[in-house]
Amino acid sequence: MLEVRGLTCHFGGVRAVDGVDFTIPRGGIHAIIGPNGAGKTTLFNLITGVIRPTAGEILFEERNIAGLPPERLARLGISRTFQNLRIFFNMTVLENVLVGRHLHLYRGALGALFRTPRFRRSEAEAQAFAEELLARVGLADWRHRPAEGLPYGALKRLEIARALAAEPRLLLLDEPAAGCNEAETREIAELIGSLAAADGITVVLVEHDMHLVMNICDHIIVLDHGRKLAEGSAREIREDPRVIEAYLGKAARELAHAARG
Amino acid sequence: MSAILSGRHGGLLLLALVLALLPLAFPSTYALDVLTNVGIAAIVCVGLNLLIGYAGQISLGHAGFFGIGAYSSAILVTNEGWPPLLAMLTGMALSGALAFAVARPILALRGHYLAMATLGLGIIVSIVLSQEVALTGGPDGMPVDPFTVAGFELATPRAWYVTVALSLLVVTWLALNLVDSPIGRALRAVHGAEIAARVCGVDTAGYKVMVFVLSAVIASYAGSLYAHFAGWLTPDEAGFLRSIQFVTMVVLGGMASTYGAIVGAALLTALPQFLTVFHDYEQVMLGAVMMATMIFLPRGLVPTLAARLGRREG
Repeated sequence: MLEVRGLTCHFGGVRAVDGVDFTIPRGGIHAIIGPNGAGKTTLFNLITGVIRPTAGEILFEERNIAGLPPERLARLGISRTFQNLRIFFNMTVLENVLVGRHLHLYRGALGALFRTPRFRRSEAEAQAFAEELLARVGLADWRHRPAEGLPYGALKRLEIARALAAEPRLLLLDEPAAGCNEAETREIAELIGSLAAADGITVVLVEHDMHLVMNICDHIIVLDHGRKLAEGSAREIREDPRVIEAYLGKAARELAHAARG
Repeated sequence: MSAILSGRHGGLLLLALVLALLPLAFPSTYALDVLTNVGIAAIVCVGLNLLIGYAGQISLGHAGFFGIGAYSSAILVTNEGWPPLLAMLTGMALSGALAFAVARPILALRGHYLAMATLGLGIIVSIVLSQEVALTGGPDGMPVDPFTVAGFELATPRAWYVTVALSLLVVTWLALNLVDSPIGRALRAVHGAEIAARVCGVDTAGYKVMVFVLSAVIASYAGSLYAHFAGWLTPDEAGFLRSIQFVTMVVLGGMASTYGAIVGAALLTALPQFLTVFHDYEQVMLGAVMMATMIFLPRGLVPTLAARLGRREG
């Protein structure tokens, strides 16, 4: 579904992403992990068109999408959430999800100005769809509240609902469980599981919660210093010495050194 | 009260009621003239609020479009003998075309740079109007023939008030409809988190252009009305100070509030008339009122008051 070849992105002299190759097959839950500064979010930004690559190819369903703007990628069926929330705080919860539904709506200016029957039908359908999604992420009771003032965990789920409203085929979640407590994390894990299993959405996530990653992901890619370090199943990654080194790194070496005396 | 104001048709009904009762409360010719000026400014502000309040894009040059509308009507009707309605539509088309032509490069700018660029646009329009003496009469201004349509002439202050009030109602209705649609939500999304809007598939650049053009066309329409209503036109109407006035009205009334834009226009148009009792200190008092409003009601009059009413009534 998604194939990345030699993807490179430099900021000045910093190689944030440096010649990364991987393939994400259709379906399932995939994770990109790595220590802070490994280039995970940059990779997401490249795939979703938020920033342009310095070099390399990104193939989405055999089509090179490197450098296309986010609004074009949305049309192709790619959606995402953000690590630092990008909520429309000037709107209600429901309206946030309706923006996510944008591409599926009747958007004619005359229809909107004069509220034609076709326009009203489209709006009513969108509202029903959005309310269903909000119920699914547990925000149904909050739908008419301003997004401003919602607790952090609710905003995280709102971002997921907004991304789902576009009915994406590829969904990228940037730290969906960051800042969530254990119960909230469990709910999000269940939600992600159902997206892949019931809706057939290919999910790629960046996440620091290793418990979550190891439990729900079929396929893990490890980045370090902008390069791909390892790739495989949860078990393979857990036992990979290079991954252990990258994560524990200096601390582990020093421990070993101290033990040797 | 707040329930009525928050309803889709409730607010519009209230506005219609206020517009209908005002001439009964203030029946003098002078008051009707002030109210008509309020209405004309309010039409501009409702359009400008779509751009500034909802889409979050500043324009310090909208008097330029007001001026293009006004002078299109003045020149085409008075000098060329066109029917006023056709001249008005031509002005709107010209304003729309100019707005469309400059929108993409201008709206790619942000913050202070966008403010500077729109400021420049407005100043260019007012300089052209001042310099083209043969067409516009230059800084001294030019007379404008009355507005006639199908043999009927808008002559009395009452007729003018009714025309402007009805125009304001229609423009307000359209603006409210637009805000509560995918287009309005897209504009607010641009303001709220532009990158997230783009990820949702919103063509943010396209919507910015659309709302810029729309607000320019509305300003042009109001400008045409003004030209015929005032009967005399100077380039000041297209000038920098007029642009600042429009923006101040929107901010004072409350950004992202259509009714706020109307209240702001009403206050800043009518207040100077009441403040004349302060004689030489009129401008100082006006400035003091504006500063106090921004300090105590930072989100503008209508949104702040609506929030307070809503809280009290639960």
